[in-house]
Amino acid sequence: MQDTPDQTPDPDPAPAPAADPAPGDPRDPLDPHVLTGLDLPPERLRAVAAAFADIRAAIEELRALDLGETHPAVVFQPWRGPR
Amino acid sequence: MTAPGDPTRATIGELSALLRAGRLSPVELLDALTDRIRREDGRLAAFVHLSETARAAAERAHAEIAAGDWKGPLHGIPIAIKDNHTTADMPTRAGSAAPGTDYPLADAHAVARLRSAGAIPFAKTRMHEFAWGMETPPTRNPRDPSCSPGGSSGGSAAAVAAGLAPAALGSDTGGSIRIPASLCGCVGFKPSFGLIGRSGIVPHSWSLDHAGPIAASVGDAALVAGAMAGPDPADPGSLGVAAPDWSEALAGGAGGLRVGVCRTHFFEDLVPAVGDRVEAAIAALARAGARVTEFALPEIGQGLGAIFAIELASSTNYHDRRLREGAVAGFGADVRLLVEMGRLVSGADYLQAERFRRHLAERLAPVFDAVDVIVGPTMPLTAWRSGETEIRIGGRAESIVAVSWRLTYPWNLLGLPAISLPCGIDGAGLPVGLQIAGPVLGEAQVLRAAAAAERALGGPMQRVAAPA
Repeated sequence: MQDTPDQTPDPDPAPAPAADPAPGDPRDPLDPHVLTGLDLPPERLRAVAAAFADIRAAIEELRALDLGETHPAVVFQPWRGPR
Repeated sequence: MTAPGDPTRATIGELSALLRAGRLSPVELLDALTDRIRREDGRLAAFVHLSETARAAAERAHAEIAAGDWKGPLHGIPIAIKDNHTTADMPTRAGSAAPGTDYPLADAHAVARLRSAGAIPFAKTRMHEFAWGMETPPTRNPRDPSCSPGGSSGGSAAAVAAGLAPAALGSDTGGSIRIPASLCGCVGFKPSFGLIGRSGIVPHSWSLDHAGPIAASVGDAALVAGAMAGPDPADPGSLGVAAPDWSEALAGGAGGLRVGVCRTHFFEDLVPAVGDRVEAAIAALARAGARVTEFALPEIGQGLGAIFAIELASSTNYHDRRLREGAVAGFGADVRLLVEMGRLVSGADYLQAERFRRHLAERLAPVFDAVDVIVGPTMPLTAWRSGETEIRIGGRAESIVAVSWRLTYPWNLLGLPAISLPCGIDGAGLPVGLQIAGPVLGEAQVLRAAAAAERALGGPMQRVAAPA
């Protein structure tokens, strides 16, 4: 029997290095349009982000609160049909 | 009792007695209101539609009452409806002129309940687009036409304050009933989350939206809210309970009432006249027999990020198809911006906000072991000039939008009953609102305290003429 090279695929291959996308390329996973899902011109997107700045600050304070093991106020309940 | 010749100045309680006694007919009442609206609303801009079927309903009510078939205190009373409640006989636009925002010609649950109680929905009132704002342009404040009536139920409050509707419906996601009621000198009442069903009300934020009335007195607000409340199978948030009879609570007085005053958050950075009038109202309640207890709860002031996260994410999700299709380009600039902004809120932020709501409720619960109600200002300020965007409080410039809901949104996060009633005027003659909140389904004690405060302060604030 002739020896053959092992053809078993590597079960955990390292990701291939991605080519740097061109700036503004919507396939870029870090592109703001991809991140926000907002199909807006760049200047409009900048305006939305700028207007969000004060709200972002308030939400960052919310994120910083240690709420321990508190469950959310709105929780899932299985639907039992119309009441 | 107000003379039948001046029905547009009477309370619902007074009108009901006149109608039942046959001294005023529902048709005369409706005609008096619609005549005034046609003459005066060009300047006030509180209404967007008048019903073409209301007069026939008034004629039916007249015949029923004359035949002894009296349905109760709202029988024959015209009620104006905020433009985000769908109605069978009037179009609904939710304050938007954007294409693709048509809603069914069918009564919202609360509107249907009012019709069953004999009330006559007779007009739709102007609102800030999709309930996403505090101004309701171009509606003017009847107390000073250069000022904003507030929002988002600004048309409803302006209509009631000007005597163009005995009461009007509103919706309240962060203060949209209580804010315009405070600025226009009316009573605005938001019962517990889910007591009034919301099916047929254009959603803004499902877990924050409340429905309720704006009226000229605490008693009138209780009458309308009681008729609106009840199980709503089409609203997943409905509590499924009917409203009890609140008449005993309204007459209960302040004697022995345990009034809590939270000095954190609710009394910080107020316009001086607001602080003065609210302190005077608390003192009046104490003189009337209430036991006043002060307390602090730092968490009550930490909810801004939570309500922003929930309201933005919910509104954007509701409008998501319009956002994807570019239809939001037809929205007003301010509302379009907010709907687009909601995409910047993460799922984790939303859940942190929901966890904060539970945390805040757990921290507040022991307070309601010690007090029946919590009393403070409805807003840190009085009505601002239309178009103004900043105000200076304590030497610091602040956004009016940010200031205006600071004291109302905690009760939306908590889903607790809250009412605003006038407690005086500032140096410019503009009303100051007193806010009273209670525990879940604690409407009776909220209304008892509000009615006691109203009496202690000399009765309901008089309505004014629409601006000339």
